[in-house]
Amino acid sequence: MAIKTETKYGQRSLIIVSSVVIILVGLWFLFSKDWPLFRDFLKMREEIYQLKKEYEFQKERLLKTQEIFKKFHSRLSEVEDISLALPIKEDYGQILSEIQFLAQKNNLTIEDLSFQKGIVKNEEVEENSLFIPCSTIVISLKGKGYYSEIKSFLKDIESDIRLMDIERIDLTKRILGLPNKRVKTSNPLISFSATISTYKQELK
Amino acid sequence: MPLYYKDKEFGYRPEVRAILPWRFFVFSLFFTLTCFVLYFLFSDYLLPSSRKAQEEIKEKTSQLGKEISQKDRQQVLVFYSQVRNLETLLSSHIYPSSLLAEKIEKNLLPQVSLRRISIEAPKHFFSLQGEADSKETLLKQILVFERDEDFSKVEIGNLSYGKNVINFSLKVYFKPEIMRYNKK
Repeated sequence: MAIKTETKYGQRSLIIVSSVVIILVGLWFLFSKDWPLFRDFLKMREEIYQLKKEYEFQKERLLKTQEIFKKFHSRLSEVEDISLALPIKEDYGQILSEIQFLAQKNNLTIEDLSFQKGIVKNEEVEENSLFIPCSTIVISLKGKGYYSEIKSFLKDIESDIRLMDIERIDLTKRILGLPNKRVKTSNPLISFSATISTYKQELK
Repeated sequence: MPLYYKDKEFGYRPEVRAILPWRFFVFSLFFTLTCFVLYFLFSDYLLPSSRKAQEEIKEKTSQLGKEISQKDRQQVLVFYSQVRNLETLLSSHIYPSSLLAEKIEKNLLPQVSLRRISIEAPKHFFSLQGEADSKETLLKQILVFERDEDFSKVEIGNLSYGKNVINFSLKVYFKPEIMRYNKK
């Protein structure tokens, strides 16, 4: 009876020791293998949540952008009108014909006309900005005509649909009045030179 | 020392609590097995599927950007730049013809005639070369320009006497606003 009891106690101890060993193995496995994986998993879940949020935000933005694009396409004719004032093409021929047309309309003779490709107007463009600056085309012209017609020509240039700025004008010969018994209404033939700036939208 | 308990049929028997270690053993086995299962669950299923989901969302987000064509983007970008550039250009657009008509012509005395007018818009001045019938007339002319609120400074250049006339050159500085559309 005593031997049997001792055997039972021996078995019991063995079982307890084995159980403790197994638990220790389990604990070691839990903390060295499972826990890092679990941490990675939690981290990944958090990342997925953030990505989903970002995706929803981008999707909403895309919808708004698509709305803007839709409106943009429905008003394409107006967009083209803006290109008349500030063209995107380097159209020297167009500029030449416009100036010739205005000169002819005002009975002026253009004797010399030259272009100078201008510098890009880079007025404080913010870094990473999507904004594209425009460049200047400088037109130098010389001609002759009557004062009132030159004035009218200048007005036409100033109010032309294509934006043009008269930077410099030089009118020579008698313009207003005569030395003796001067009359303001006199309209002598005079020669003129002008420097005009016009602009072109750069593409990139 | 083992404990004994009294059995009705067999008398005193040793009290062996073998059930608790077996339960403990089963629990330890279950616990360790669970740890193993968790490992395989994370490494073979949960983590790969999360990684896949992450990649999918990234891919979907990058696809969103491609939904607007490059051509459309460029078109809108150019339009936006045109509008912004035009805003700046129009705010500084100048009308030198108004300076000629409203300022030089109107302020010119009948006894003065001009041979040359030069307008330098960016430098905000114009220069006049001409002749006046007398010093008094020239003086009056200078006073007229000086009294005009839109002119800030009058500089007298060369003066020379001719036959009954006095030749002069003047440089008149003006306020930039007078060549703008909205002058006030």
